[in-house]
Amino acid sequence: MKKGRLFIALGIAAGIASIPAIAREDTVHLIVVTGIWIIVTSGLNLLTGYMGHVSFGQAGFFGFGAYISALLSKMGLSVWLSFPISAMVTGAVGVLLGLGILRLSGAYFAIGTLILGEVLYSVYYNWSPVTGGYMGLMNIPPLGFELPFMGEVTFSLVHWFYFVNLVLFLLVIFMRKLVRSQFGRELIAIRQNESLAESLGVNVKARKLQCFGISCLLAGLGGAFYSHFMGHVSPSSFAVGRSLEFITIVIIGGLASLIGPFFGSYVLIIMSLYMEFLGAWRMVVYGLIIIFVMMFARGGIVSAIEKCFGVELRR
Amino acid sequence: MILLRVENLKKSFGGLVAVDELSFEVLQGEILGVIGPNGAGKSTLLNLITNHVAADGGNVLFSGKELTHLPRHKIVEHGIARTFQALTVFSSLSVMDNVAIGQASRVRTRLGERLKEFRFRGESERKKDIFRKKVEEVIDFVGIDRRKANTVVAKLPLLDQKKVAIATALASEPKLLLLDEPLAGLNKHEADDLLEEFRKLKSSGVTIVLIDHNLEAVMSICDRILVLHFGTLIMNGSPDEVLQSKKVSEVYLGV
Repeated sequence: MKKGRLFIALGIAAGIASIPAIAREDTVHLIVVTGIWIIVTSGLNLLTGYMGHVSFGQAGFFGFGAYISALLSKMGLSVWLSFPISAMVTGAVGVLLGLGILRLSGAYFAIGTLILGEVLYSVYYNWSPVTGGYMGLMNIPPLGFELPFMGEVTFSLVHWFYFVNLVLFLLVIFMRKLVRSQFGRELIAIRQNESLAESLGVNVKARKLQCFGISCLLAGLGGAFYSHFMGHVSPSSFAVGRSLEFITIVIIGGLASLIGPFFGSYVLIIMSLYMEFLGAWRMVVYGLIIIFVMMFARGGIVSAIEKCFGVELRR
Repeated sequence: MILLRVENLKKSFGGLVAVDELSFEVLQGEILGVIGPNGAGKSTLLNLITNHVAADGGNVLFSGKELTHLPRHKIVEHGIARTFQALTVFSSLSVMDNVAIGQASRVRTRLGERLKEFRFRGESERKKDIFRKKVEEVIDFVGIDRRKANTVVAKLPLLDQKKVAIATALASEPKLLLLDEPLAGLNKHEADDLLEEFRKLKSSGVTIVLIDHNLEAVMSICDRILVLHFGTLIMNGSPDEVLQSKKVSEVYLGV
């Protein structure tokens, strides 16, 4: 049994690894961007799916990581170092802001994060000397590595493809461990009945802060990847519409499921390609999708697949 | 030995005085019953002890340590666990998960500890085994069939669900267990089953405070009984003394 699973895993890995050789360049590009979206929404899923706190401000933290990493590397720091640093700084800022905003619950928390995201957005938009204002930052140093005899090599699209998928693989292992631990169990307990959880000895305040911190950290990491992959950032990428996109991904993918963000991200990104002609009306479609899923298919794509094929995908 | 001391505890909701200058003690190892008509302040009393409701005045001392104003999870850490009047379990989680959540105050989940776990895998596995064993022990202790351990709690019969709530409380290894109407909704046979668990608990060294309307059961199991009426203590004595008390029958029967 175990051996069989190993072969399946190896097969899937080989399949994924061969994509850059087969697929068109824009497809590979799309997969990298989707991978970044999955990193961000995995964090959001921990917050929304497992702990039950809906955040409409995730794009703000996504942007925070992007700007910090862009600025650090522009100041001469190695891009490899700026990834973890910007992720951790974003996580720390999340914890600081969380000290205040996590006092709110339910819809009030959601509204609070919406405002937080909007405030961060207007900082990116208006603080021109640092963020470059509405034009954003250009010429962000690309990711690269040093090879003997060949000197500095800049990351190509194919490098990015392998890099992002490797990070996703590590992320899944990390998240799996996290949600199956006592920590994950306590997050679910908070979602189901916060007061009961506290009465049973769960340190609710601390868990909330930690969970919010991790979700911001992952948003920041995704942002850092995004800025170096694209080579430029501008505030419009971090507006409230992006937050709505992230939350749509988590909900249609399947709340509290580790692979939900994968399904959600691919479905939404592919869908948005075909909806480009709708312009800003896309947001209306996202809203309708959220309403539809919440009314008729609360487990999202993951549980729909489970029901259709009678398999167990969750957790 | 005195385990819990309540001194001049007071709480009013608007003009209604729910608990009025109440003082009593809970002795180590006993089962203390708290009875009284509806609205006598029994549940409020428990809520005050565990800080679910903030007291207007008075003190709660547990093994000599002041509990008033402590956050709820800290109170669990000190060794007081409770169940609620309304059945409270995480109904969409399995029995195992429910009980494991009850271990929260005994498992360190600080992020630093988590990160260490990633490194010292062997050690953490051993620790995990200890906690898993403890969960199984508690499940066995309250008499839930092991085969039901992975069942979602919502699918279990009421008696089992109540046992899960008690097992979850026990998972924090409490010295004092507060039970708020655990027998409500059970038939005679099931109630006897649960009372047997309480006797087992007592002999394992856990002190119990029991609130219930089932007087027969309370009389049969408690060492001592407090009778509350409009938030004041009108009687504190053995079951026999309570049965013979004129005052108590006046309150209960109006004669």
